[in-house]
Amino acid sequence: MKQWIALVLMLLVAPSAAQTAPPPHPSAQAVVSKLIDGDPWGFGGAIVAARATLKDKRGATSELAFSVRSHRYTPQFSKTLVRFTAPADVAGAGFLQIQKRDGDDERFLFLPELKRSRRISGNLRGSSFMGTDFSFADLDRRDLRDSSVSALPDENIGKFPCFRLDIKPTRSDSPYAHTEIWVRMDNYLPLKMKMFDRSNVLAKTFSALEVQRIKGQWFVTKSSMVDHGQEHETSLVLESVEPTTSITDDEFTVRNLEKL
Amino acid sequence: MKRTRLLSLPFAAALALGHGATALADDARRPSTIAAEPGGLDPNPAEADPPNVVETIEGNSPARAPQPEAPVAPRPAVSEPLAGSQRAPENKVQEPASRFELAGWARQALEVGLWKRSAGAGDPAPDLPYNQLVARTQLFLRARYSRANWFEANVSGALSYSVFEQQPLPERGGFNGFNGQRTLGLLEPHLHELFVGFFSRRLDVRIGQQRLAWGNSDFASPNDVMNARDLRDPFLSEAELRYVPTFLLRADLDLGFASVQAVLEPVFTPDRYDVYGSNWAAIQPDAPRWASALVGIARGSIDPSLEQPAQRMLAATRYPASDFSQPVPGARFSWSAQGVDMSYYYQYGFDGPLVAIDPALSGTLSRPGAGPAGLSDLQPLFAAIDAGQEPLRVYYVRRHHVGLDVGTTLGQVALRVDAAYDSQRVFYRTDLNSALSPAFAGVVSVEYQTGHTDRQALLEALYFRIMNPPASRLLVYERDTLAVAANFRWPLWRWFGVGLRALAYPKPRSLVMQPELETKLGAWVISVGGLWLDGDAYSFGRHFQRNTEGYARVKVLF
Repeated sequence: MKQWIALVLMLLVAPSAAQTAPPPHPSAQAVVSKLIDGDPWGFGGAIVAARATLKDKRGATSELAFSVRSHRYTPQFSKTLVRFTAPADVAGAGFLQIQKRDGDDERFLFLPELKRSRRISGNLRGSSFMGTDFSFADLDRRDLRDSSVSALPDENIGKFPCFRLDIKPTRSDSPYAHTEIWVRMDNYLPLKMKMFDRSNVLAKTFSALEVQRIKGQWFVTKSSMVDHGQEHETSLVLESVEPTTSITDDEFTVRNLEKL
Repeated sequence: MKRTRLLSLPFAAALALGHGATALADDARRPSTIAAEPGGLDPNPAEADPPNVVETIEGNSPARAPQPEAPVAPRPAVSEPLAGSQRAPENKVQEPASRFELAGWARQALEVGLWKRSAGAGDPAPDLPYNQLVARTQLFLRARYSRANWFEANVSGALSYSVFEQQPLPERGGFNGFNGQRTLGLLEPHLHELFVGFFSRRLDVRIGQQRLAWGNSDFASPNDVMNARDLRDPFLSEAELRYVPTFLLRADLDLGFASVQAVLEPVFTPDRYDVYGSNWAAIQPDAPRWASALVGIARGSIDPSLEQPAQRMLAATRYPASDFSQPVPGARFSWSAQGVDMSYYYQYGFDGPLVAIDPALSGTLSRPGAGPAGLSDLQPLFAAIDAGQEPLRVYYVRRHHVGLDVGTTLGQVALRVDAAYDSQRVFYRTDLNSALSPAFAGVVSVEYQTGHTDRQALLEALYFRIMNPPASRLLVYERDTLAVAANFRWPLWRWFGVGLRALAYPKPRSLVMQPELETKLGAWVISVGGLWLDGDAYSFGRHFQRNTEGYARVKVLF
């Protein structure tokens, strides 16, 4: 009888114990790889309509509206066509970016009043993306690709357990000395980032406010980027996201940029 | 039976905990099981799509200086007790099948002429009117309709009303804004673009009145030859109105490694310019006496309200045929490699107008000591015309244009080169007769880029070479002419910014400067600035010196 009781207890307890045992903790580099594989803003194979609200320290706001068509042409590298619809002074302008494995990304800007597309520097990673608090570096995630990473203690953001990493970019053109990043454990979305400038001063903070799973993919659909130095904030809302593989590689040309 | 129950419990519990409850409790704790659905594309989305989910991330607002406003929320976010997640409504995002856009601007500009005649010199050209006050009210609208990725229709136009007040008579003293000799109002409706485009994967076709920008440079773009230019206000007009869209048949073919563009302008459209009567007209105070005498006759013979329509009659005595027998074909071949963009251009077009006046006529009109010319002085002209001669010929000449441009970036600097060769180009001698010569033009541009559209720092070096220069002196140009142009625009503080455009020729010495203060308040742009021109005799700055002025502009974008 005692044997039976012991067996039953063992059977009752054993699976439960096995279930609650934490899975092996992935390495920091593995988390970064998953992070790079992701597409939190829909710039790697989606059609997105977005709106950015910019607010300065006096509370004055302005809005930037744009749509994005993107295509991941090789793992980790994408091509992006952006078309701006507001405010009026940039409405109709187009932006083409082709990420390059080696060398600077290729970028072209089309201005409708000049009817002319021009190559713009791919070496402006620290510069603002069309006046927002997101820099090209924040969006292109090269600092994740070319970096050394170390794990920090896991931490929750809200109720979501997150891996916490410290990423030190190795690229000389990175605007940041290091970035602390909180990566949600279940879907590898970045929920929070603290970017420290070259003087190790907290420069910017990114916060995900809403995420959505759409057609099996996760996106950060509402987020905020605060530039602490400028006391400026950008709220980015992806109003609609359509993940797709139907956008072909040959769509990302200057010819198409001019007829957006 | 009892045993079976006892044995089944742990398996049921394991089943529930392992495959259902744990996932609900927090799928975050199982990264290895979720790894198939991070942001990357699912290889089989149709088969494996889990339901759409919206999750709010509560308590993730950073400490920040600007107080957060309620974010723009297209859809209410929902949080769920366990994972903060809820099935989202199906994402219906699709690109609209058709799209209509309407944009434009309205502008009010006031220009006050500051040109002063040298004391005691008298008016060097009493017959040439000088507008000391110009007020322009303009409305520009642009509409575009597109259907999917295969069709678009564009229409744009401007409506402008300008008031020109001429300088006061010398005996009335200085200009006070109300004592001008006369005031003229001019209403100009202008159809800018009107074209349709049909697009396929490799081929785009556009038909209609359209702007086609060739070349890379800003200040002087020697390859930008497919459209006519509007030269009536080259510094203060809006950038999109400085070229005149013309009727073109245009095809763009994508070859993959390069693109080819073929263009046909069935009927040549000449530049838009004034011969006389406005501050940027061709005939200026340093014009030869025959020209100002001719203007005097015209002014005495034509009602002031008809002066503007008369400009086209005076601009050419003979235009290229408009019966499609003298079309203007053009082609561009473009390719990019290693971050360098190159385009090659060819056009068989026209240049001009070429002005040739019979020396006998110019001699008659510029008799030394004669008073203002009158119609009686033109008797020889009329006699010559009756005899089948053309004592004054103003016409356009055919020429081949070949050119190239190269553009690349080095760090934060964009480098561009434009070069062009014209088999015939019209230049003007100081007596306003024309000279023809093959010519080369080259422009090297260096632009410091910041990533901000409201910040610009551009420097251009321009070089012109006239292959067969005439023996007599030319207006503006020498055999080799160098110029430097700059365009600088930078925000200073809050909404305020400064700008400076400048154009300098070392020989003949000439300088044009346009400093400007600008403020942006949302969609409103207010600018105050000045235009200053000076230079040696027959230089650009001296020829158009009467345009030295102060101005204020208010523009609203919508």
